[in-house]
Amino acid sequence: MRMTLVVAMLGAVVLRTVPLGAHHAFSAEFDANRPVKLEGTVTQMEWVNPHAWIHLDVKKPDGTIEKWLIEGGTPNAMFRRGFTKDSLAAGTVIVVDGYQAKNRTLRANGRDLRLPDGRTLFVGSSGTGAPDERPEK
Amino acid sequence: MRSAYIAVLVAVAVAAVPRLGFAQDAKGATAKSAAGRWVPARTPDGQPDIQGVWANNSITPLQRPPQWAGKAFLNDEELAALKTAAATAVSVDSDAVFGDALVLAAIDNKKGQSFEPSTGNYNNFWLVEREVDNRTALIVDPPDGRIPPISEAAKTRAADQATARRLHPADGPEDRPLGERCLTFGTPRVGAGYNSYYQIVQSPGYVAIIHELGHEVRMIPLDRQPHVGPRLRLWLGDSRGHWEGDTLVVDTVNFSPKSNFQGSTANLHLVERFKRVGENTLNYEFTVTDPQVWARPWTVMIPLKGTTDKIYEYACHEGNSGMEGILSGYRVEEQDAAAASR
Repeated sequence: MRMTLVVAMLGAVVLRTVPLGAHHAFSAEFDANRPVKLEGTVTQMEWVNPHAWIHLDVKKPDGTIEKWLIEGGTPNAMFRRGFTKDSLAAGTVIVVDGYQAKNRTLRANGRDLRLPDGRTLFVGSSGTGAPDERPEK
Repeated sequence: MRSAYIAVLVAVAVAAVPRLGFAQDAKGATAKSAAGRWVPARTPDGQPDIQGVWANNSITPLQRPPQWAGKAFLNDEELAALKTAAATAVSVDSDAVFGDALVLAAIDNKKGQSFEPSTGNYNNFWLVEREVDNRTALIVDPPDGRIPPISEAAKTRAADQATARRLHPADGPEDRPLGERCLTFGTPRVGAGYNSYYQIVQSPGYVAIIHELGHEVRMIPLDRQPHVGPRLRLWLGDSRGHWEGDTLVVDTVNFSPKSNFQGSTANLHLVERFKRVGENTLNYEFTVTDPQVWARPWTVMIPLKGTTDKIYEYACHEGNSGMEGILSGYRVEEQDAAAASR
C-alpha cells in the first residue's frame, strides 16, 4: 500500500515535468526490455520534425545487413548551432545505444549516438567530428 | 509647395519599406522620448513594431521552487552558482532534459533527470542551450510564484483523465496527446528550449504570431469586433487584439473543451500583453482565468529574446511514423499478452 503510494507520487512528479504535447513518450513506442547496441553505416538522413530519422546499415556477425531506422530529436537546435543537412553524411559509421520498437520492427530510439572512437555526435560547433566530415557551409 | 509635396512622397516611400527582424539597420527606425526611454518604431500603419523572431530558451521555472521561496530574484552569487550547476546538470551525453527539469536539478546540484528513465529519449545535443537569468519563477502573480489552489472538480477531472490514459493508452489516435497527434500544441505557451520560437508579423488591422512548434499561426484582428459566438470553439481560442499605448493587449476566449493549459477548461479566459521594451526584448505577459479550475487568476511574464534566426518549418505529420509505431507497438504487446494467457 505504502509502496503504491510512493510510486503514484513519483508518477505524479514525472508527469508534471513532461512537456505537455511537446513530443511523444518514447516509452510508448520503444520497449524498455529490448535494449540494442548497434554499430552501422549511415545510408540516409531525414531531417524532419518532430524527429529526425537516421537510416543505418548494420552488419550482423553472419555478414548479412540489417536496415535499421533510428529515431532522433528535432533538427532545429542543431541547425541553429551551425550543423547542416550534410553533417551526418552517408558513409559515416556511428554507434547507437537505444531500445528497439515495441512492434519489433528494426527501429530504435537514438538514446545515445556516438562515433566509433567514443566521441558523442554533434559535439562542438559543427560537423559530426568524423575524420572525413564535409567542410562547414 | 512643390518641395513639400516631394517631401511627403519621400516620407511615404520610406515608411512603406517593411522593417522585419533585427538584421536591418535601425538608423532612424527607433525614436527616443524626451526622457531617453526606449520606444519602438512604428509600422507603416502606425502600430508599435514588435515584428521579428522571438525565442524563449530561458531556464526559469514556471513556478517558484520551494528552495527559492520568498525571493523573486537571485543575487549575483546565487546566479553564478546556478549557471555553474546548470552547466553540469546536463552534458551532451545525458538523455535530453526538458523544461523545468533542468533548473530543478541545478538548484540541488544534481544531474538533470530524463522524463523517460526506462528507454531514454535521445542525446541532450538535440536541445538548445538554455539561458540562465536571475528570475526565480515565470509566475509573477500571485506573489509567491505558485499556481493558485486547484478546485476539487479540477482535481477529479485530472484524476479521471489519468485513469482513462492508464486503461486506454493507445486504442487509437484519440487516446494520445494532442501534440503527438500533430493537432495543436495550444496557447499560451510557457515551454522553453524546445522549438520555442515565435515570429510576429504585423499588417494593417492584424497581428499574426507563428509558433515554430507545430507550425501554428494565431491571427489576431485589431478591429475591435466582438468575439465569435459561444458555440464556436477553437484549439487556440478566438483572439481579439488592441493597442494600449505601446502594449498589444490580446483577449482570447472560445477555447475548445479538448484544449488544456495546466488543467484549463473550455471556459479559459486568456489575456496577453506584448510590450517591446528594447531592441531585442519583447516582454510577454499573460493572465489566465478559469474559475472552475483555479481559485484566482494568475499571471506569467516571459521576456522573449530577439533572434536573427528564422523559423524552421515543423511539418508535424510529414515523415512522422511515431503514431504508427506507438499504436502497432501496443497491438503487439496485446497479442503477446493474449498468447501468454492461452
